[in-house]
Amino acid sequence: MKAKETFLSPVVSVNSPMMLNSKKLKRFLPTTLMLLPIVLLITVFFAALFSTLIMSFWTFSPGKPMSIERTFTLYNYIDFLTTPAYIKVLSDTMYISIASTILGVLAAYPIAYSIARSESFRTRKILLALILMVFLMSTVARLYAIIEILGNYGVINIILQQLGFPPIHFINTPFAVIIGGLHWTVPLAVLSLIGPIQLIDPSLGDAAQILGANKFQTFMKITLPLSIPGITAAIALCFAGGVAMFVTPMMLGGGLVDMMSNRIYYRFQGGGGGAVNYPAGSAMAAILLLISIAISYLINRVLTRRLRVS
Amino acid sequence: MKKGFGSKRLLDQISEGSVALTRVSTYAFLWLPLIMVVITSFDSRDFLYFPPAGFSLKWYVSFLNYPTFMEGFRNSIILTSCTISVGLAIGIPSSLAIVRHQFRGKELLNTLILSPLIIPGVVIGSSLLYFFVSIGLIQSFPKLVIAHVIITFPYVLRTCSACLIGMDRSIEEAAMNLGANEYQTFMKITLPLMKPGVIAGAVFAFIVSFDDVATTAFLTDAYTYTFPIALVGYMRQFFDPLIAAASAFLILLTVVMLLVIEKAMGIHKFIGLR
Repeated sequence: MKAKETFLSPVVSVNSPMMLNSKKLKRFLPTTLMLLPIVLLITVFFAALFSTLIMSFWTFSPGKPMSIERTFTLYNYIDFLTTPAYIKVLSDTMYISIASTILGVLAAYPIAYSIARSESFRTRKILLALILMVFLMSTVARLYAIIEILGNYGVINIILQQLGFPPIHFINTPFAVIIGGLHWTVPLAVLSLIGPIQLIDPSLGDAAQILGANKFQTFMKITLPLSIPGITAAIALCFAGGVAMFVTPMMLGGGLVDMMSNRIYYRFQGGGGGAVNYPAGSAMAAILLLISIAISYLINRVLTRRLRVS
Repeated sequence: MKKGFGSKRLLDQISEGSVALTRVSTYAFLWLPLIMVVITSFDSRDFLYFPPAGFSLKWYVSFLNYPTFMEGFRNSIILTSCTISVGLAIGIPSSLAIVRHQFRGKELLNTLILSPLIIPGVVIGSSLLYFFVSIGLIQSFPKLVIAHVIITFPYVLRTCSACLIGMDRSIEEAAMNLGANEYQTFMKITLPLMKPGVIAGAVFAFIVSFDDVATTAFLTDAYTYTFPIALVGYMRQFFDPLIAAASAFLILLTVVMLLVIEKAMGIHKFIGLR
C-alpha cells in the first residue's frame, strides 16, 4: 500500500506526533462514533470481496437459482488454468500491462526530470499542468482520441493512403491496447517521479561533472541510482492500473484482445461468447486480485529493503 | 586534454539532444490526439476524416439533443454529487479520528481504507454485484452510490489527512483558551483550515466517480446508467464526430477541474510537491 503514497499527497504518516491531548474534544466526538461509518463501509466492501472468494469454490449448475450450487469444487480454477484461451488472456494481460508500465516509466523519466529541475517556477507549472491534465482526462475522451489517430480511417492511415502505402490495422491488436495504456501510465509515472527526483541533491551531479564525468556517465552513476525508489513506486502504480485495464482493451481490442477484466465482465454480465457463470467469473476475479496484490506487495518489499540498505 | 574536453561536450550534446527529442515526442504523443479530437468535433462532414472540411457546430447540437447522453449526464452529476457528499460526511470525521486519536488497529484500518486503490475496478464491481443481490438490494442508484464512495474514499481520506497533519494546533488551542467550545472551535477553526484538503478530496472524488466504467458497469440497469457508460455503449455501435463533440466537452471539463484545483490550492500542492 505504501507505493501509493508517492504523489497523491505529501507524506502521510498516520502516527503524527500531534495527537490531541484535550479530553474535551474526545468527549464531543468519540473516536468510535467518528469511525463507525467508515468501518461499516469497509465491512461491506470486504464482505463482498470475501463472498466472491467463497463463490469461486462453488459449482456452476444451470437450473439452480443464479446457476450456483453450493458444493465445494476446485473446478473453476482448474478449468481456468488448463484452458489455452484463458492462459492466452492471462499472458496478454501480463504482456500488455508490463509493456505499458516499462515504456511508460521510460518515457516519463525525462519529462519528470526536466520538470523537477526546471529553474523557472512558471515553466514548471505549465509543464506540470500539461501532464496533470492528461492524467485527469476522461478515459472515453482519451480512447476516442487514440482511435482517431490509429483507427482504420484514422489520421495515420489517411496519410499512408495519400502517400500510396497500404493501410495498417492497428486497432484490435495488443499494440493499440498498449498505446492506450501508455496514454495513462506516462502522466501517472511523471507525477510520481517528480517528487523523488526533486529530493536528489543537484550538487552531487555537479561534483561528478567537475571531476570529469560526462552527462551520460553522471546520469548512470549518480542520478539514476538515487531515483530508484521513485522509479519502483512509479512501476508499482502503473502496473496496478495496467493489469486492471477494462475500457481500454474493450475499445482498442474490440473483443479480439481481451484482458482479464473483460473476461470477468463477460462471465458476470454476458457477452464474449460464453454463458453467464458467476463461480467461473469469481475464480477469475480472485486470480486477478491475487496478481495485483502480489505484485504491489513484491514491489513494496523490494522498495523497503532497498531503502533500508541505502 | 583539449581533445578530451571536446569529445565530452559532443557526447553531452548528443545525449542531451536525444533526451530532448524523446521529451518533445512524448508531449506530442500525449497532446496531439486530444487536440485532434477538438478539431474534428467542429468538422462539417458527416463522417470522420482528416483534415476537416469546414467549420460547423452541428455535432455539438446533436450531442446536446441526444437523449441517452443527456440522461446519462444528468445521472452522473446526481451520482457524483451524492458520492462527494457522502464521502466527505464520512471522510472528514474519519480523517480527524485517524490523524488525531490513538486507537488499536489504526494501521490496519488505514491499510484497509486505502486498499480499493490497488484492487481492480472489475473485481470491486463483480463482488458488489453478487453481494447486493444476496442482501436483497436491487435498486441501482443506492448500489452505485455505495460503490462510488468505496472507490473514491481513499482519495478523500488522503487529502483530508494530509491537511490535518500539516495543521498548526496552536490556533485551535488559542480559540479554546479564549472561551470557544469544542463545536465552535471545530466549525470556526478546524473546518476552515481543512478547506484545501476537502476541496482536493472532492475534486479527486469527482474525477474518479465521473470517469469510472469498470466498477459501474456491473451495477447499472437499463434506466440507471452513467455518462461514460452511455458513451461507451454508443462508441461500440457508431463511430462519428458526435463522440468527438462529447470528448471535447469532457476535455473542457478537465480544464475546468484543473482551474478549480489551481484556484483552491495550487497544482503543486494537489499532487503533493513543494
